[in-house]
Amino acid sequence: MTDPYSFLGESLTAAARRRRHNGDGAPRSVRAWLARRLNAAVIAVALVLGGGAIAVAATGLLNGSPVKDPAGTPTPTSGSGVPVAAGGSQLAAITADPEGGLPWAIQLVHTTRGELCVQIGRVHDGQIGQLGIDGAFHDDGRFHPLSPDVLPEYGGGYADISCVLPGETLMGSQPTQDRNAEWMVGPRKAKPARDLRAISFGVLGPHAVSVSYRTSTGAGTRTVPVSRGTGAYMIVQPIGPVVPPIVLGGFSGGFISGDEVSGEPGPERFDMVRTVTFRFGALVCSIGSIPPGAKRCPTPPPPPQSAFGPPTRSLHLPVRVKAVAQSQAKCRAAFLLIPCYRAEVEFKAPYAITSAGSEYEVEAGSTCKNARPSGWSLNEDVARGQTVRTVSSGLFNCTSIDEFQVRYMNASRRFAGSSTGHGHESVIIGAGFIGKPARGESLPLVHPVHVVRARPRRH
Amino acid sequence: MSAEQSDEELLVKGGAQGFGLLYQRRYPLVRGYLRRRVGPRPDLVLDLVAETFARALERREQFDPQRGSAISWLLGIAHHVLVDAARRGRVADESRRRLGMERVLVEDAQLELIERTSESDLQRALAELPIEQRQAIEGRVLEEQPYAAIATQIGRSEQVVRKRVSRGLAALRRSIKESA
Repeated sequence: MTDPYSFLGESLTAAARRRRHNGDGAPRSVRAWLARRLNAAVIAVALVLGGGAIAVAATGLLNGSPVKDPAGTPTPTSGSGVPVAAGGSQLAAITADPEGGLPWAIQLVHTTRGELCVQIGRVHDGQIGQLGIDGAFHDDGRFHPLSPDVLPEYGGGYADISCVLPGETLMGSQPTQDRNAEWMVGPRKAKPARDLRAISFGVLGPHAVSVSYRTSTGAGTRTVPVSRGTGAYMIVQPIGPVVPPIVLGGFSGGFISGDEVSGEPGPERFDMVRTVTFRFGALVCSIGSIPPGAKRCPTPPPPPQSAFGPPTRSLHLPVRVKAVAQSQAKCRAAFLLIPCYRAEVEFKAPYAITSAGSEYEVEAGSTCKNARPSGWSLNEDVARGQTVRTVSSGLFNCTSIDEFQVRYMNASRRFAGSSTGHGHESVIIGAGFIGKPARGESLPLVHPVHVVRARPRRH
Repeated sequence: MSAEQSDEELLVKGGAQGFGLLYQRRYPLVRGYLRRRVGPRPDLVLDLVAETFARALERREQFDPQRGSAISWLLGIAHHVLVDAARRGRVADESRRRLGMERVLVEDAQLELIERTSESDLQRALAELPIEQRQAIEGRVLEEQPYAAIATQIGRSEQVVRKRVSRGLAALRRSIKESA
């Protein structure tokens, strides 16, 4: 019996070899980073600002090219959607930089799929953006506006961006943020600690009152109010003299239902924020490290054992599945035996999908010994009663006893106690089994599968 | 490819083989980190570990040693994958699918064996450490207490606690590697 962790290691190594073979060594973010730099290179006039010049940069600062994201091709009806047309973004939690110069802020962006996305940056003339210093934008010294439609997905272990659904809360931290506010960059030149910042930011909802955080000097804690209406906050500190106040960074999340608050500030090594205080009518309460005399907010009941598991109830609706033989070249490119297949799944949607809070997904089960089909999700809007056809992104080898289970997953139902809770419970729509396909037989694809989290598009 | 290369070197310059080596070296710690948070659910932990390393592979060029160690970066990814799983009610597999990785299918009996073995591995390795290092690691890594709190508990300075954690983790890594 092979240890699955050894199998996983072999699978990862093989995937790493394939990436190298396919020239995928430079991932999208790095390509975007390079493209941004190339874009900046066309700016004829370069104002090289030294560290001392930043303090006066708030006046007379020239605007450079907008920050672009050439990799994204999002649509209003998939992924996070795009910013809503009017009043879709607002600056919040404007915070001074410890060195002076342009303040920091977070920009809240409402999207067509019901999410609230967070951007961080520095503020100039009422716009949020990034600075051409410390290696960014060829050190052109300019301010590069960040449009609401440039929403990077979060970059692995680093905190840079995230989106939340109504009722959800988000707390993020970055222990060594570049003062140019740039995110998702590739390997950088080493910078002295004085040119970096420890930042924490988040969105805690309309009931949030304040956050208390540990100062980077170790002098104790400080409490600051959050933005009214949104609960947005941003804390910017210099890196501490010995060690950063936080060493890891990351996100923690939760949700609010009625006066119950789920989630806590991250462990100390994740986040400098230690306490968050809320007001629900006459009730003032806190989460995190509770000060003497303060009340802890009520918490919702713990999630059931099945919280991470798939739904168990099935509607037993029909699901049609076909295996479509792929070309020999595609099989070889995927290092698979010939023949290899993709699965095409068709079902009639019993529920509409109108926001990022719910989705249909296909879970593939197989007894194949070689490559197996995997699961995938349709992260896009679907009309009730619509016939949905979708194809697997992965290829597989055998077609004997493969089950494809279609599920409706609804995250919004977790907030049933709040005004945002809506929709149906997560449920199995039905299951289909694959049969031996006729060579070349294929269903038309009307809904390509989006496996990459889409980003909003510029209007 | 030298086993003595640092995690950071394996991640940045190690190529496919280096990433495999990093996985072999670090998956027990990532697994332990996740297991502490989801409980005795070996199937779920396996899924979370797989997506964590797949995501790390996809985004390895984003790793920046100046921002922290490779293990901190990996644990940060694990944290994100876990939070995302709690939100969506399922473990994401987008990275694995983009990489064309096969799904790891295992039987219940095998998962139970892994659960028992991984727990006993960690317990055994911890038990072999000097008591002061074991206390420091349990307090800091497993229970996530602040250094200051641990220092107060044992009546030593934070700097001493940090050294004990660092030395204990190095010893744990050697111990688990030798027994693998």
